[in-house]
Amino acid sequence: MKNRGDVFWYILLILFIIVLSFISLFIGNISIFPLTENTLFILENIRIPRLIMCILCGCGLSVCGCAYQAIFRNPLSDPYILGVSSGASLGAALAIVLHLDSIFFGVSFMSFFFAMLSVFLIIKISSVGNRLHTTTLLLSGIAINFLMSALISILMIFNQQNMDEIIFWTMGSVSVSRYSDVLITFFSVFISITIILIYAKDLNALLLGGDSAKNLGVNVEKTKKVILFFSTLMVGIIVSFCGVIGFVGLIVPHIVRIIVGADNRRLIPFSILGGIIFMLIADILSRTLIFPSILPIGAITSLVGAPFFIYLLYNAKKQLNP
Amino acid sequence: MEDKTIIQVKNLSYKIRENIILNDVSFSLLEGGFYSLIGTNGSGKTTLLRLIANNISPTNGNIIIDGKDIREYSPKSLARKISVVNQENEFLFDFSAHQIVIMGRMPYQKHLQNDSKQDLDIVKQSMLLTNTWQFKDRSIKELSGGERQRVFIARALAQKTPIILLDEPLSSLDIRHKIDILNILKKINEENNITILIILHDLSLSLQYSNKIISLKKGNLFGFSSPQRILTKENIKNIFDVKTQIIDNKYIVFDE
Repeated sequence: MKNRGDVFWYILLILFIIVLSFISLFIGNISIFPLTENTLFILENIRIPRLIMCILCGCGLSVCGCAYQAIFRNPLSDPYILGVSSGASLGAALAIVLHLDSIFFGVSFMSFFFAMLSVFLIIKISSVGNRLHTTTLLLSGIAINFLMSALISILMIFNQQNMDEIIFWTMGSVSVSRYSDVLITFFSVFISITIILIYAKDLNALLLGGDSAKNLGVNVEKTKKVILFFSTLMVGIIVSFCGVIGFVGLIVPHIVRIIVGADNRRLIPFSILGGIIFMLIADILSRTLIFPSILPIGAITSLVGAPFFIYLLYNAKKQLNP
Repeated sequence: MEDKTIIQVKNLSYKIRENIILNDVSFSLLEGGFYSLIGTNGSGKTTLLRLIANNISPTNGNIIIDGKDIREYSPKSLARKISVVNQENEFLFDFSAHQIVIMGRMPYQKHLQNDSKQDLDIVKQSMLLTNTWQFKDRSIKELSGGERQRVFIARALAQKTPIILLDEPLSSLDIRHKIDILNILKKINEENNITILIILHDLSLSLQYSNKIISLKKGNLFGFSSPQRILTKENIKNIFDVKTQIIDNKYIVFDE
């Protein structure tokens, strides 16, 4: 944020985001030119809300990745890998089955609540003393993923009339129709990212370990709670509207870290922009690869993310057993 | 120099369930002293250090830092009194040496506040003093054990605290690097009147460098006195169960 070189890159990346946004608006079954009442309707009610949602998912999920990686002291942490996203989608599915979707915020609240529950479970399972062990953390994430998917399948079998709606949550999509959804997501992402940015320096200290952070004057317990609350809030809300879009929080911070380094004061702002770019490209691909059909955006991010995750695991293995 | 008590430990006990790790330990440390803490593995050295660093809370007893109970300090105000060089831990993220040292300025900064000119100057001074400035942009992952320890000592210095605690900073270093680090510590101890409390395994080195030695045995305070009085043949046999000869009050020779 402070040096001039960074400002140049911020501007360049923002320009790139604007270009991608226009491309994203123009792509689709129906050409929006010439502008008529019909095409304006499509633009206003389908493409613009989708574009905004896509941008919010991009920055929300990648900042959540940065935050989880610092709090869990594990470079492989991501809301999807840790099972938080599938927890949130179970919450959403339950809300639909229990007809809570008629209540204002009903689905989002359940989504958030179950996301928090998953985080709590992961911490309980994988802490040894006051440390989180890397392997157990990933394994407990996988275990929670299994558990949540099993519960979602059971919900689907017993509620076949809601099956389509529930399947949507497990695939991921940024298509939204209501501006109120976009607005709720915007506020939760905006507030959460602001708070996480305020704690950027404390997250740096936490990366060196809890004792170390405490000795530098960080209120460790409070910081962890605040960061976990807000990053999970973002994921919960995003999942409640867009379903599970995996690996964004893993890929983006990793690539950005290679370029700008580990300092969260630069990592987080660049991850916001990088995350938006990543999601916009994924969105454009999802709608052009098998045109005129649409691939779920969650499938695209996983198609890139899963091999990337394997590559990181492979490297970690080499580091541990050279 | 006026003798001012900077750390006072009163009837300190620490238990994990029924296991007594530390039992009723009391002592006072004077400002500007160089104290080493010795004892066998499991004698409670690290626990004592972590209690003074406020990383864990005692089951019983009090710790008074600079006239005030440790519980009355906010995390930030305590970080302006005590800095800690922890035992070597794993580094999963690529911070540069400079980024690590600048974290030492955190107790003086607000959230979102950028590093001031003064912060950067203090960091540079601390890194020059510890001979780490020349590799300030290298990743902490790529540095050798001795270089890393010096980076963390630089961070403690940048924290500008009257007290520095060090938990076995010399283990895994060769003798050249051990002496380099102790000389740096001795220098800051003498020139800046910083109180040093260090866990040492090397008895000869603690004999040479410390003003006083605190020795623990099975969680109890075994002795707290000058090196010559603590490190006698009889005491070493008693604490560590090894036979030694001490020559000229200075050289410890193992005689097993």
